Amino acid sequence: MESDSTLSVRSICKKYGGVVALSDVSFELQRAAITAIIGANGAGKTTLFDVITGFTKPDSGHVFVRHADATGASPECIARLGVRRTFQGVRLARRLSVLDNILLAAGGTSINRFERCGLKTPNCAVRRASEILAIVGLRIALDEVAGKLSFGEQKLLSLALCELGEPTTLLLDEPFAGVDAAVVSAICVLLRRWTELGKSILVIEHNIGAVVSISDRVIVLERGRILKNVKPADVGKDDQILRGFLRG
Amino acid sequence: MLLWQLSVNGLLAASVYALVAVGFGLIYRTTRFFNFAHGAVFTLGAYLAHLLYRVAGLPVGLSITASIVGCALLGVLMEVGVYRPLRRAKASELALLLASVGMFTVFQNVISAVFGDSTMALRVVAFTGVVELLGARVTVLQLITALVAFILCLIVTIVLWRTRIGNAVLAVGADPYLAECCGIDSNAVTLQVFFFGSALAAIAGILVAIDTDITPLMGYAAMLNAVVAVIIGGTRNPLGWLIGAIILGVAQHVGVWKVGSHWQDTIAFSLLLIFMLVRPNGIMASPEMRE
Amino acid sequence: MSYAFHVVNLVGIYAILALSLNIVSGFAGLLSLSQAAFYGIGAYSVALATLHAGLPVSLAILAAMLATAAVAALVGAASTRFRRDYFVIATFAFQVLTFSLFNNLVAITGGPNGISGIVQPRILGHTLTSSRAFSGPILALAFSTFLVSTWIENSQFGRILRAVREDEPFARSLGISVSLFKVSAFAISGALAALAGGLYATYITYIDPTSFTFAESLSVLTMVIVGGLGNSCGAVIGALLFTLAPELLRAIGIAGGTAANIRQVVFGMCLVVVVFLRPAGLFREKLARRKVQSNGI
Repeated sequence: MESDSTLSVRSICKKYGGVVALSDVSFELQRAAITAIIGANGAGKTTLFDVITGFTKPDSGHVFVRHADATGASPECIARLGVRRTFQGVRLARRLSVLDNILLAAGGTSINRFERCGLKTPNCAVRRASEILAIVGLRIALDEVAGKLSFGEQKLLSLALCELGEPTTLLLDEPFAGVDAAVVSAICVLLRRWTELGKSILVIEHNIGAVVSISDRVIVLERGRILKNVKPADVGKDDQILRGFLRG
Repeated sequence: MLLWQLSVNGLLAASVYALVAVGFGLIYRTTRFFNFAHGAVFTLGAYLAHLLYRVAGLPVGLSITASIVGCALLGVLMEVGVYRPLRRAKASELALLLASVGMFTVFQNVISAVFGDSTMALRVVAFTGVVELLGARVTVLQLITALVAFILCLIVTIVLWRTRIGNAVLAVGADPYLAECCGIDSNAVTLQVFFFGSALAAIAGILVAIDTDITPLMGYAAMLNAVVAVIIGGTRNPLGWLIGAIILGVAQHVGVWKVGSHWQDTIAFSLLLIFMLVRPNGIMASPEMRE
Repeated sequence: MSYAFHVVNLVGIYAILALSLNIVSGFAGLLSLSQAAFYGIGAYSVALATLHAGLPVSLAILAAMLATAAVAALVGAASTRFRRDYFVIATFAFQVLTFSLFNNLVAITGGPNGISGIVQPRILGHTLTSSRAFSGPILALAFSTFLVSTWIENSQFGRILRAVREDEPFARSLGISVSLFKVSAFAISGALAALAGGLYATYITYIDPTSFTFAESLSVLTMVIVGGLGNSCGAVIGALLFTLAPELLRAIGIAGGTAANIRQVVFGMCLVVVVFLRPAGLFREKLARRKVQSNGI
């Protein structure tokens, strides 16, 4: 089972001033599995993401990406190790076109190398971009300005961009927030596709229903500590977790 | 003893920097952008006083007061005419900075075109006279300048933290929309800050005019020094700006003794770069500097 | 007639300058007040390389471009760690510092007296001396710079610069090394500014610190902002407008010193007006392409 772990977090601690954001957080992500993190607002979920992806340095503890110690590495380094993330809300190059965003995310990987030197986007790049959009079920024009898309479309686009880096691990920050049922199911389809491709996914979510239906494990974070690390079926039965949510 | 004299000279120069820095820093604290046009107000203070006293022949006190009020109103005009509309149009701080740089250039060159580039003087008889300060020679005027600067810095610090209007200024500086929600009229507060800050700049300009000479480029030098003082001192605390001004003034005067007076600007900016790289939070820590 | 060529040459040189600033301030979104410093470093480098090291002009310009690129890279690396408005101050500080060095390092730069008698270029055995002779090379180089700028604008490099400008955390999450690209933008910008400086030096044959002041940095910035940040054509148009305007003033006979003041007043007002009315400048940046041919799906 050791060799199946794509990302492992050991004893991460982080304080901001006097406030404890994370305290002794440890867990592992397995291949082809979806792990969900739930917890009240301010429990430290996004801070955890920032630590894992290098946007924040932990005070102590380690982050291992495919057994390589990536603690404190820069976000771009960690991204190049095969980790992709989304952000709360949506982060995109808003004033650039959909195609530009896609070409950015593709970097030098699957898009024809010659594109980088050319003044005109070669057809193969455009084709690949259209394929990506089709995979996530986005019916939008490639030259549409990213910022003008609807929120749901932007979310799907940012997920599509994650796919392009061909990552082994994906960290999604509240992917189901603020979108309608159609987008929710499109995202679920995408997540299933990713697990079939063997990727590990870590999801922050408040939507318990979605969490329970898609994930293989659920981690409950409360005030920076891991409260529980359970199977989704156990979530509904655990009084502690439910109380935490009614309170939060 | 020479070192002491130089240090004292540095302290006295620092008092002028501090006056400009306090006005500049207050505006920065409240509006979150670097108002380059502050330098123009400084210059105008000197030229206006000169115009009224020398050319129009008005009595000294009246000239100075009218100049201060005039410049304060100019500051208000800039806020109402340029900055507030830009903020209402959701312009970024950089846009405001650019607009202020543009205005600085305009005012500076209008003054240059109208008054000519030659240096002028605003000699006022009442302020001549030299005293001895623990072995260093200072003029009465320089002493008055230093006292005025120090007292004003102290007053500003006390007002900011102890009075309601001061707290309102701090609130607007932290988050203008939140301040509005608390019932503070952000626009009115900003207006007052511009009035007071510009008045300070004018006072500094007039004091410099009486002490040394008036040139169209004086605002430029004043701005450089104010920016350096504010950044060295940290952007939060007026006392920090005073300390920043002192560090700058002393470093310049002592340094100039070693390397020559034309290196003044170099010393100022080397200090600035050093502080920005090594201790970006300034002397009095401010958490906003790094990204 | 030679006056017309002179104006053309100035436009060419400023076009290169404006295009160079556009890379850093337009594409990368880093508002820099230090372009005149790099311009000056290029000019002085060429002056010294031709006069003291005896290098032919073209080699001198090349060397100057490399040296200035290195300096610019250092400045970029140091300043880009700051937040936006402090970054501007850092570039401002560098500009003033450099000017001060030009003015005070008399042994190297000649101080306020500058350097005169700069060597002029030899092409195919002929030394270029007249304005007319310079026009060809200057325009050719200006056009090449325009091509470079357009290439950047449409390439992945330009795309990345824009992404870094638009949303830095997003760019980093894609594996883009933000600092590297910012520094690269600075280096290229510095090299091109040095090209303009070298051309200026060898054309006018006399340089002094007053050509490389903060006011000059501001002029170039105004050209780029009015022309349109992020648009290569805009930068060239901006350079054209702001180089022709003072010449026009001179033509209607406004006296020397005041003309300089009026030029600055106009620049300042334009800056304010543009910020107010049309922050994107005269020519908008081409962000989303028209009509991507998506056949073959």
